[in-house]
Amino acid sequence: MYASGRAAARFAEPLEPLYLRFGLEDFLGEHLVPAVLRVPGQSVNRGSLSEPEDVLFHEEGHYDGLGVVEFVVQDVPSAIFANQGSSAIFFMLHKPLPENYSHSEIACDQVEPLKGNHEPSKSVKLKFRADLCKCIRTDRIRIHAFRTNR
Amino acid sequence: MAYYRFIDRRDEARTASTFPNLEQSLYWQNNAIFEDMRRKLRELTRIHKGWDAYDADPPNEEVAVTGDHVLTHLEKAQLIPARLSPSTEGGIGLSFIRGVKRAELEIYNTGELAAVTYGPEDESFAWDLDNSEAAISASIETIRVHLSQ
Repeated sequence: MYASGRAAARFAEPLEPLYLRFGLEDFLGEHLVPAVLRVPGQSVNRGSLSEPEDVLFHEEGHYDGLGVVEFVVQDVPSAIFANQGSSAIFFMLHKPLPENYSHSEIACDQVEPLKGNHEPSKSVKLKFRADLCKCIRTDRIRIHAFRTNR
Repeated sequence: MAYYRFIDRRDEARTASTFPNLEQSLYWQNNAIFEDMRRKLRELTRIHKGWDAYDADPPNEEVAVTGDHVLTHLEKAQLIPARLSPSTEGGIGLSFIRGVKRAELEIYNTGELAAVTYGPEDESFAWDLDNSEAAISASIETIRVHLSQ
């Protein structure tokens, strides 16, 4: 769905679905592997503005054979408190692209006093990804993958 | 196929050392698994930038060296990862699973390492570590204890 000049819309519904693209080897057992998520900046599509298959749209078919799994906004951990170093807050950010109005990203920021200065430590980001992967399960797969994304 | 027990023998107490062929078989089986992982590790350094359909970097040479070192520690500890994957953070992830218990050890292109233990009912626990012998051994032990709980 083209953005057509529309502005970003705030996330207000905790149960709004988010659609994530994945490859054949990205699940281990019933859960997604943390290594395949990126934070900050993991791209997803908003479920209120798109369908699952839209995540796989590419004019040259680059994403053919990949899968789509669903999670919801409230699955995204809102804060991670580090055992070592800094803590961080996480949130969904609607970042429309010209050809994809539903495009959004997982964003993060440091809590005071480092707010706005640095990315969280590797362990904070890994803990975030592991916690989110607890919610990204095979029973939430909307389109199955038939190839790896490499 | 016939099943039998030795009469008046405590065969339950027999160990692999009583059966050298079994011990050797397990050794070579694990050895083959770790050799496969080392081969995959080397292959992953050759994947292209943007392998994740975004702009993730492939694992670099430093990750290959540290990863090989970590695999040697894991082999000695007989703790076998279930998966070796490239990480979108730039590096690799070693995934461990036993029942519902999970752990991840990641090695990054920046030279950093981090690990996490987690499970559906567990509070996840993550930590940063350096690539020293002591830090790697202690982290492997933490993962082993978590998986066996």
